[in-house]
Amino acid sequence: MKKLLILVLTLILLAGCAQALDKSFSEEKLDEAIYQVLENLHLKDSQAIRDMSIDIMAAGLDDATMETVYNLLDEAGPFKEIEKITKASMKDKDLDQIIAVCSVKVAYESKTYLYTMSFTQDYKLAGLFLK
Amino acid sequence: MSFLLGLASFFLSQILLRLPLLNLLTEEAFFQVLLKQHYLLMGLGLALSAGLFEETSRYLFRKFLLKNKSDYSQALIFGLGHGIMEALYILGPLVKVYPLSLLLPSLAERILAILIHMSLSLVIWQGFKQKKEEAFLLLAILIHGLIDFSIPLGSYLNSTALIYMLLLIQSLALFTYTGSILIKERKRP
Repeated sequence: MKKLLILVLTLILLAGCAQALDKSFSEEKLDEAIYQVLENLHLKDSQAIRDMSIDIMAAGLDDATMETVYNLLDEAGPFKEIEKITKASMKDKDLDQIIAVCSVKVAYESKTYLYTMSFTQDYKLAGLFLK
Repeated sequence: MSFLLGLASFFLSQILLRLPLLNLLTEEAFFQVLLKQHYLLMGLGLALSAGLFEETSRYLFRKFLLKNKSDYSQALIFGLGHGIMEALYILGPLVKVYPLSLLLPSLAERILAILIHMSLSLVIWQGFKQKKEEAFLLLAILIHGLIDFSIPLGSYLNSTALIYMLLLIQSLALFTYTGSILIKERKRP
């Protein structure tokens, strides 16, 4: 029982140590970047999304990948509202900088999706996941 | 009765409690960061949480609703119900989308999972028989957690073969243990 308790306490400690949003980021600018990504996705403007991404990310967002995302959005129906946004930070070893990780819950007419977007210090899109 | 309560046990512990809680956590950015930064530790924690919820539920059902069903055959029937509910929950949505031929590996994996649930129910029942309920509950949580941990460990090391190997070894060890319990029980006068 003690070992289980230690593990639970370690996880709680880890949760406590998890970076809240780093002070180097502006909440407002992050919100703007999030809205911009969503707007471009809803408009199916792949080039605009690539333009606001870091190079390696833009290269990964080829037409086939974007088509998969748009199909998911078509299935979900028209956009209703952003239900929830939470933000945290972490050190990205590949980019060698602290990035912002944003979890964005978005309601559409027939489905709700959870986006995870990450942004660099200059608010470039560095990661985009859709669940 | 034991079968229906087994179905209810999975429904309550996972569908009603753990999965909604997990969904709430997944919506938080800090949780995404933790998953990325401490994948293995978080994987272990999540695996143990499945054990904690499901085994505690099994324990509580046995303690309060199946007081008079101490026979090991009841444990197997209860575990069968628990496992079938999980299989329906996992495979149900897939059946509508994929042909049966593509689902065969998943079906085989679910059959193994059902056998694991039957065995873990036996572990909980044995705790009551030996009057060491909490110790056997802890044992069941750890076994359940370790079996579930095979998946994050295998995906961390990018090896599906490792996942199957760990699942098979752990399952065989568990079945040997629970099989020996059943054999001993049969030999009892």
